[in-house]
Amino acid sequence: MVYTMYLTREEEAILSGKHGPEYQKAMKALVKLGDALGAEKLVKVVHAHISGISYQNIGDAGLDFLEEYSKVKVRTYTTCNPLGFDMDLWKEMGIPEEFYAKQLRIVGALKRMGVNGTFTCTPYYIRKPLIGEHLAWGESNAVLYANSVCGARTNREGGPSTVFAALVGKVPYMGVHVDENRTPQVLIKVNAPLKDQLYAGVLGYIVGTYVKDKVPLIRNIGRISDDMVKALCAGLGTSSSTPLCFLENISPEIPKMKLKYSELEKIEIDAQSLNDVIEAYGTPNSADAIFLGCPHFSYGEIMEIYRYISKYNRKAKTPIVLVTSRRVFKEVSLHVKLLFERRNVRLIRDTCFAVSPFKYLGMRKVLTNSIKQAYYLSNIHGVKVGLCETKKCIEVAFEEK
Amino acid sequence: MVMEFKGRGLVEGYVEGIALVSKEPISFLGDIDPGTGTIIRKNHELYSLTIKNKVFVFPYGKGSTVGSYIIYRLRKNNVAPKAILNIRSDPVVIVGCVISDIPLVDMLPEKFFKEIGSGDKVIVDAYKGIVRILK
Repeated sequence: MVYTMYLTREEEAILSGKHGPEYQKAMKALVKLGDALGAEKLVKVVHAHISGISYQNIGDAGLDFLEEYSKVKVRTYTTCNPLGFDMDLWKEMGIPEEFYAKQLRIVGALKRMGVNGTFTCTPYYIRKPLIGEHLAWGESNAVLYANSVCGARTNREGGPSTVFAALVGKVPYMGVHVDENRTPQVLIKVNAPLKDQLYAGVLGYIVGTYVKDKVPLIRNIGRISDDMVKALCAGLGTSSSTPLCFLENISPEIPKMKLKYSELEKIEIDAQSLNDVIEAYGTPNSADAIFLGCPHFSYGEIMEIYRYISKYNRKAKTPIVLVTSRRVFKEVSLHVKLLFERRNVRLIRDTCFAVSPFKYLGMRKVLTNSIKQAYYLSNIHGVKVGLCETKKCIEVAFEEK
Repeated sequence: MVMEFKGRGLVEGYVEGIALVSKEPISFLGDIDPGTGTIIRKNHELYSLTIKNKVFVFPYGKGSTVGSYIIYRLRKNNVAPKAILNIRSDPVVIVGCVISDIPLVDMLPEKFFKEIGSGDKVIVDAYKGIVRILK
């Protein structure tokens, strides 16, 4: 095979098939991608995160592929994205047997490859990346969080390329792996208070519509919580293809950068622009269900809901569904889970409604605090979605005027 | 008459076949049925035609990265195109062709896309990145 990038002797050996056909294909895909996009070499990754593992998304094509490559093992620490359902609640969720069986085959293939069954879009809660580390992550919110909050380095990998990177343990050295590409191109000044995940997410979404594939530097966001930063990353990932943004007082690389602010394109975003996006979805007073946990809830976010519902001594009229990872689920005490049950709050894991076979869930109208969730549920599944602040979502569920 | 064009060979192979030319970009997820190779997007100019055993020509790929898996499935179902020719190949198509052993050539000159039409006989030498149109 002809290639132009530099390969070590070991990489050449893999490419020539000495480690078997699966590693050879994986290496060939990485080298072809790197050559096509101008990478000079490959770089080792400490963590791969495989996206696209819900049977709803990848279907029989993805299932075939993962089963074929499950003959071999990943060569770096690897986690994976959510499935189409909660592994313990699939029957209750109305998932058809065939869907369940095929999703389990995907899970089996991943396990044989040595992938950790994390089933979450928040791999940074499983292993928080360190500054300067190279990663191969799929899942846009996670990519933005890793680059922007942790100062780690990953491009926005697609599902199949995360599998190859996991198998080989390397990615082409290009995009935001390279220093020169980690500089802001657009300066965003925020003139709006970000008092809830809702607004942080919508801000990210609006920034994304402006910058598309450019790297923004976002200023004047105040001291926002880690949960809000996560929401911002999710919103930005929904409307743009940028893997990286710089957040004032948060991104660890900012202090070392030599910035010429005068040379950057400038955009201001005010509270009215945030409200316009929210109003376009609407803020209804009723819904079939409240969905919270996109991206997957942190422990702190779960406890925030616990505090809100503690003040009621009755069941919520509308079911409240909280989605998290099995890792965080384990941390939540039995006491909290019991109160959730009594108040009509379901804490589920492993899944995301955007990648679930939604038509079986029997819901037409939902309310959420996440612009990302709203965007995908309405576009992919044709569900009517309203947007509310987190606390307001709970109040609607309890029918508090 | 034979017209020869030089591009960049991305996935190796040598094939001869009949061209199917889409002026629009292709999203393999959603546009193509992985079971039959038929173009299933209703508003597509080539709707209901099949890419099976054709030299499939389109400007570039777009859409979900699941598209790579769709290309792989086309191959498994023996309904894959013989080769793919692009103006510029995107990661979805590159990965899809690598894992499915479908010859892929991109960066062909603009003139090639003016000359090529559906039904033309083409010879693709993806080792050298050379494409010949026989009219």
